[in-house]
Amino acid sequence: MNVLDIKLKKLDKIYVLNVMIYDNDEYNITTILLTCLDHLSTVSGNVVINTPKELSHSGITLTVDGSVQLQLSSKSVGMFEAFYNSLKPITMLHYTFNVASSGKFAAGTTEIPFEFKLEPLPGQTLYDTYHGVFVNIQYTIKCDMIRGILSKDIQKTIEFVVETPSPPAMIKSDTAPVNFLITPDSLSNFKKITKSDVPNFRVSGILNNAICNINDAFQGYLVIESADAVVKSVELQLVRVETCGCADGFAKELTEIQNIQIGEGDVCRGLQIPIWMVFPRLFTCITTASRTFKIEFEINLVIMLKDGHLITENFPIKLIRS
Amino acid sequence: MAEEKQATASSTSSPPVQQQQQPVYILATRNYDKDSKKLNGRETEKHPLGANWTVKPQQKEKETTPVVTTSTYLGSDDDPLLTSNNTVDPLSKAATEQQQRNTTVDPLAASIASMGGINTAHTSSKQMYHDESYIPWSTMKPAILQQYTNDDLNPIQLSFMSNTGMSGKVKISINRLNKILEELEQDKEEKQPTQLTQGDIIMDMETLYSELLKAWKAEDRVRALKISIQTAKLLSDISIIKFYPSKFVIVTELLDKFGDLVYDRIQSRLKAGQGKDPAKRNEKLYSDQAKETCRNWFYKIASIRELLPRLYAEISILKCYEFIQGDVNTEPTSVISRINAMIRGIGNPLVANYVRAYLARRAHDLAPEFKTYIITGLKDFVHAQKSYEKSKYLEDILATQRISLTDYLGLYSPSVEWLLQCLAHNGKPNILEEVLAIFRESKNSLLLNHIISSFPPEYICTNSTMFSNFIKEADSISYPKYQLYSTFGVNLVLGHPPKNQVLAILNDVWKVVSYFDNLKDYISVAEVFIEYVLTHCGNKEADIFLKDILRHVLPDKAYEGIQSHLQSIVLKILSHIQDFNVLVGLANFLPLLDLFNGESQKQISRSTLEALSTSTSSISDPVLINTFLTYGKALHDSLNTLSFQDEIRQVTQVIINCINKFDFGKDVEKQLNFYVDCRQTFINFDQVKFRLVLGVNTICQKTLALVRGKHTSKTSSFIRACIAYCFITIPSIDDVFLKMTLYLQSSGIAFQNQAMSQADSLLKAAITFVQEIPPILEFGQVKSTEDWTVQYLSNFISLLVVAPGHPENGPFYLIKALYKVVKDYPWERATTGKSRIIIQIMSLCSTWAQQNLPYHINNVESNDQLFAGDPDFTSELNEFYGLLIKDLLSELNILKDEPDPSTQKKMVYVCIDMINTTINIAELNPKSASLIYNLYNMAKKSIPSTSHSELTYLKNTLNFVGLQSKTSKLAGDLFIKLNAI
Repeated sequence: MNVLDIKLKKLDKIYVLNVMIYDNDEYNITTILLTCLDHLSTVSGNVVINTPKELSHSGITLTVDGSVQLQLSSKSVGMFEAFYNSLKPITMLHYTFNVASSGKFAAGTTEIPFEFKLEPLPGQTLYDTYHGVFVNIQYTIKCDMIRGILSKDIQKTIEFVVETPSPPAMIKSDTAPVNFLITPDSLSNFKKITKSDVPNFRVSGILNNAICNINDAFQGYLVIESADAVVKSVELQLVRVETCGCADGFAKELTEIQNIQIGEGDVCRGLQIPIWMVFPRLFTCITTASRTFKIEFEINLVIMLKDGHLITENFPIKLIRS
Repeated sequence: MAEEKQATASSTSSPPVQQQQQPVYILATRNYDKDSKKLNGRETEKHPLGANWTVKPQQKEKETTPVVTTSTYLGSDDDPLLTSNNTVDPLSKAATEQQQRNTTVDPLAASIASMGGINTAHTSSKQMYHDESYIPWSTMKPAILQQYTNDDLNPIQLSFMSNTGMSGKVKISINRLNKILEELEQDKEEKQPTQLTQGDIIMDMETLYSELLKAWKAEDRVRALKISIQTAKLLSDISIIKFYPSKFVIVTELLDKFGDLVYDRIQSRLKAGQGKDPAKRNEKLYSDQAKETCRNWFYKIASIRELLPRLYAEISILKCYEFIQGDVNTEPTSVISRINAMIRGIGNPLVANYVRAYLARRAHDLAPEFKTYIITGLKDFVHAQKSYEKSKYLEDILATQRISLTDYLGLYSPSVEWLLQCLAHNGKPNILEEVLAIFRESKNSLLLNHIISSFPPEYICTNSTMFSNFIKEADSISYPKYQLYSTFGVNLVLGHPPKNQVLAILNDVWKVVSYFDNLKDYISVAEVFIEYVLTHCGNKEADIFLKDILRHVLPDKAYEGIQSHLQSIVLKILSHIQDFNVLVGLANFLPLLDLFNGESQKQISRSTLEALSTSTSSISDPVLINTFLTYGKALHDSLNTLSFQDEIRQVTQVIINCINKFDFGKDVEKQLNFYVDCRQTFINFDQVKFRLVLGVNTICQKTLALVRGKHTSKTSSFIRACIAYCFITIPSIDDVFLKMTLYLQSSGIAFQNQAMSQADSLLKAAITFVQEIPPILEFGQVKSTEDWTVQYLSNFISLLVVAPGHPENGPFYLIKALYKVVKDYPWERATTGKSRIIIQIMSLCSTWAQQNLPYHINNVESNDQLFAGDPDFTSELNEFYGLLIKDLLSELNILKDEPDPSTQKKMVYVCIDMINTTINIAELNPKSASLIYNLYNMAKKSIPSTSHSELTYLKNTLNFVGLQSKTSKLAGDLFIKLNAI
């Protein structure tokens, strides 16, 4: 059993930043103020000390930290040494509290409550929690119990999740369904095959929306109207596009988050096959752009043929939270 | 015995010869009529047992339980069984509790209500929704497992499926086990190159199932999910296609378990939040926690890469959506519709349709009234089916799996069946119309078949003409026509087609069926429609129908190949027409019966006889006698010594029941002739012969009654024929017990009918067979026959009381022969059977010594009339009596030395019995007095002080001696002496 633990009041550990929009005519700019309207953006919980016998300590501190970590893939390391500085972690949020000054805890369970509001450091913005490959946005609460010289210090760290709203401009933008049609003629990039060898096929479909609410599923349908070749599998690939850099240069990396099969085997022609994908938590966030990094998402519709050839159609999407 | 008594004119009647000799044992003569104390009856107001049966149900019901079954009879107040008025019958109590339990609010409903999710009304309607017409999945499972297997020899058995009848541990080879576990660990994607056999898959399932439970117990939810995914993946493999439906059953069994585990866990969390202690009550916290768990499951499942496992996993925990109502995309109907649409992504129509069936199964729990998605699913199915039929894959599959098209399409059956039954259950007419529309468009006969089988029979019947046309229209590729007609027929039987259409439908159908090329197809339909004819038409139509069948099956002995179908036709006829006289009236029925051979002949014979035996009226028709004897003979000949005892017993019972049905009224001669025929036919069945002899005895008595006790020369010769029948038949019975019983009974009958010499021979024969009674029987456990033998011999001796002595061999011929047999009989060691018989024979001697016998047979002169007062008779009787006493004493001497306490106990009883008998039957003289004294002494010494019953018996006996002392001085002395011991 842990001697030291942090328990948040909210079980799902998800905290939401609320948005208030002021249309300031005087300056003709839209100012976004992050305000803490309710408990959703107030993190509260308890530091729990559980000890079988008396426990003495030299003070307990709580550190809240929110930061963006940028990493470089091996291929872009050389390129970035020049502006290495910009790759330092960006701290968005930082608090330190003294939870308890030195003293003793009686045997049993002791709970010390704490509470703080999610507010960015001056000049910083809070972003969605996101676990990527080259970009990581993470919020943690760390609790340290300092003990005497003879005993080891005790530390406990937990992560909590922050959800931020999308810029209203993005939400307001056009939300019309996207029609698509894939035929041999629509293909552009041929690998190991010439255009004339491509078997005849015609796949059409609709995406309900290219701007997707992150809490909703990615939806649409496709119809394999005809295909001469045998279809092996139809898959949806969710890809993240992470860009690190600054004005001087940037590195753009594409990596797969998940691959979901929506058609197995030689799918029946002429039936509407639903496109449905739930965005995984933590690994996706709303489409984010800042001075030093960008997080964007794309979806690839992949039709695998029995002979090993792939037909891929790429759809850039925007993830929003309304 | 101690009641009626009285010593009499003691020494007066003893013959002078004996007075010169030393005192010997002498049988006393008594005047029973005078001596006996009359018991005075008195009228009673009620039967002693009647009180408990006074029925006052109405009055009590309210007091005892709120709900009492109407059949509860409560006794009157003084009923000792009813201690108080409040006593509740345990059964009705349980029933009441059951009812109360049912009415309590469903805990789940409460929890959902508290979550603000689905309203309670909706949930409770779910329970109301299923009625009897809904066939639960569990009843379909065994049939599927049985039908769809690649290996006909080994039935599919799984330890975790209760209805497969296998329990206990299954041995899984360690190698295989390790391999499966390894695969689980590695999560590898690539296909296994090795082909699994059906047995392998079943074994794997065993392992996976036990691993699932293990993982769940160890709280390793991720692993449990992985196992479920792994299992669901098995369903994408159609390599052993014949096994596929069964595989589906097994796999979904595991998935169901998984789904239930997840559901129960979340629900138990919710319940934890509703603890009674308000201080600890934290519903919000717990319900948040439960919701979060639930969401996590769905997120995890949504990220499963492969489509099929993802679908199966989501469907298995579909019910959990009710916990997170209010979240985005969780509205039950839209969830179900979405999953239903996603199934289109499965390329193989067989695989896809089984997912649909699984969805329909689990969706029932979430939204039972939501059905439209099934229609969409069926449309998809028909669409896919159509394009699949055209494609070359179908040919490939049929070729590689070596399976016929019909068989292949048959694989769809369980899934389509299930879908349609979900749809048709409580289905509204418009839903049915929509399904029919799908058929009209597709002409898919597989679909039609299941439409007919799952729709309410009444619906089919009222629209029978339409369906009949549908069948004609349906394509013949996807499902055989004869199957369609069979299914159609089954429904027609179940429902009530409009009266005026009954014949029209039949003619319509038969116009097609009658021209089927394949006889098997024809007979399969006929097998179903015979029932239709029997149910809805008259016997005349049935006869015509049978004629048509005969016309089809007779040429080229075609009936030999379709015995089982014919058999089922006959069985159906038998079950519908109870009265055998009507049955024989059908001109084409008996010819149908003639078509059977071999094993099916045996079965059909038996069924025919069974029907005959349950026939309501008694039978005397010669045609039926002939039928009975023919099929009885066939049945009889089919059994031999190797047949199972139980089978023989059942067959015997059937035949006996049939024999019971034959009644010729006053024509006893015909009856006897019938019995003669029966004996000839059923020569190997003991019980039948037993019944026959009893029957002959019955007709003897019947004749006796007809002539009012006085036989004419004609009837007496008939009686002699009857007794001769018995005399011949009885020895052929193997069972010695039956034989002995019959000898005794028949000789009694013979006496009554004044057939003296025959009665005598029967008794003689019985005596010779006494030796054959085995002292012990072994049927699993060893059982002594002593009691039976003693009882039987006692009855025998009772009959000897009135049996007149033999004219040449003297009056003691039979009893001495019997006595010799009893002495020589291999009695078991330390038993008192022999002694008890000897005492009975003494009583017989005493009876013979009287002036008048206590009972007589009409028109039979017994020994009292033949030998009364004959001094030779009396002296021989006394001599025999003395001999008996001597033998009894030596017998007692042997018993005395047995150390076993139970033998001692028995011995004591014999002693005391003997004392009582002696007092009753013997003249009390010094000799008999000293005998009594010695016996008493011996008994007293041998009784342990703790055996109260023996002590009481001894005491009563002593009192009895005391009573004698009023009339006899000797008895008084004896009483004083005995008291002194």
